Amino acid sequence: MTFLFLDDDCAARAPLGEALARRMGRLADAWGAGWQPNHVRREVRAVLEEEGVPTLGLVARPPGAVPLDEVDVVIRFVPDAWSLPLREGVVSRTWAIPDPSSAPPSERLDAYRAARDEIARRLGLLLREIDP
Amino acid sequence: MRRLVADWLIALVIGVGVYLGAAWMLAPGPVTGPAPAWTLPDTHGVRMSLSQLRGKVVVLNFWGSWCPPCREEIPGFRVAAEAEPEVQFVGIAVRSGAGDALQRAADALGITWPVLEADSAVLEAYAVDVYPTTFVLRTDGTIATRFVGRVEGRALREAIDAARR
Repeated sequence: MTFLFLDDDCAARAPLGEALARRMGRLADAWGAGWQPNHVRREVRAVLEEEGVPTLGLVARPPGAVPLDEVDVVIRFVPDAWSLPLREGVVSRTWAIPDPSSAPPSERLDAYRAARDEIARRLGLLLREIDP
Repeated sequence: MRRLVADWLIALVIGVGVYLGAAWMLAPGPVTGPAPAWTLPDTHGVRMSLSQLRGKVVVLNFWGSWCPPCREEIPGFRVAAEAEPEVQFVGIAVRSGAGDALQRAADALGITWPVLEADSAVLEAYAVDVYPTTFVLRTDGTIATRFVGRVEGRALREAIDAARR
């Protein structure tokens, strides 16, 4: 099963989702992507590594760099203002999780932790739903 | 010697990866400057070029019949197109069929402007990754505005006004 995590900005929630999904060994693959060019934020690596989630190879990428024909599940962190040419039957969800990169600097790391934990929680629920 | 070659190969792979990553991060696609040239077939097989439109404000809309936000913005585009008859609207359709099938899809959505079939070169030249993506071009063929995602009619008309200035 291949997951795709989509955001406007490819630097925060999308790579968090990718890393968390890849940690779940049952998954074939996971990708994070966004159309706004950026770097993966250092807070992403920090909050993943403190939970022992591998971050090696985690990069920010545009949707065009993802093999869209292989995607089975799409998770969007933004409302459906734009779309991608995906296969018929792809499972699609929109998760309204606040963007941690917009938190005030003093609260930002905690915002990333909250986003990490919420993505992991929802991912667990979704997996039970679509792959019981 | 073999170790040295392996080290060089690893360094080369890492270097190419870093370069490609940096190239993308530093090149978010054309948001200003001259609009890349294209020549593409319409639904009747007639080829149309951007250069033919020089002297007009152009609204270049990359869309797909499979794309809900693309379909949702069409009514606002139609209102703008009717209010601004001197502005040339052009749809560039992606993975939406060709010929009669594409024209039927465009008709069903109420698209009244020329619809062209995208090729990979035009998508690459305009760095279109998500749909819809819309460019408003000035009369001299330069890019005035790029919208990523669904555009409201009012924002489009403001961008058209800005392109005229």
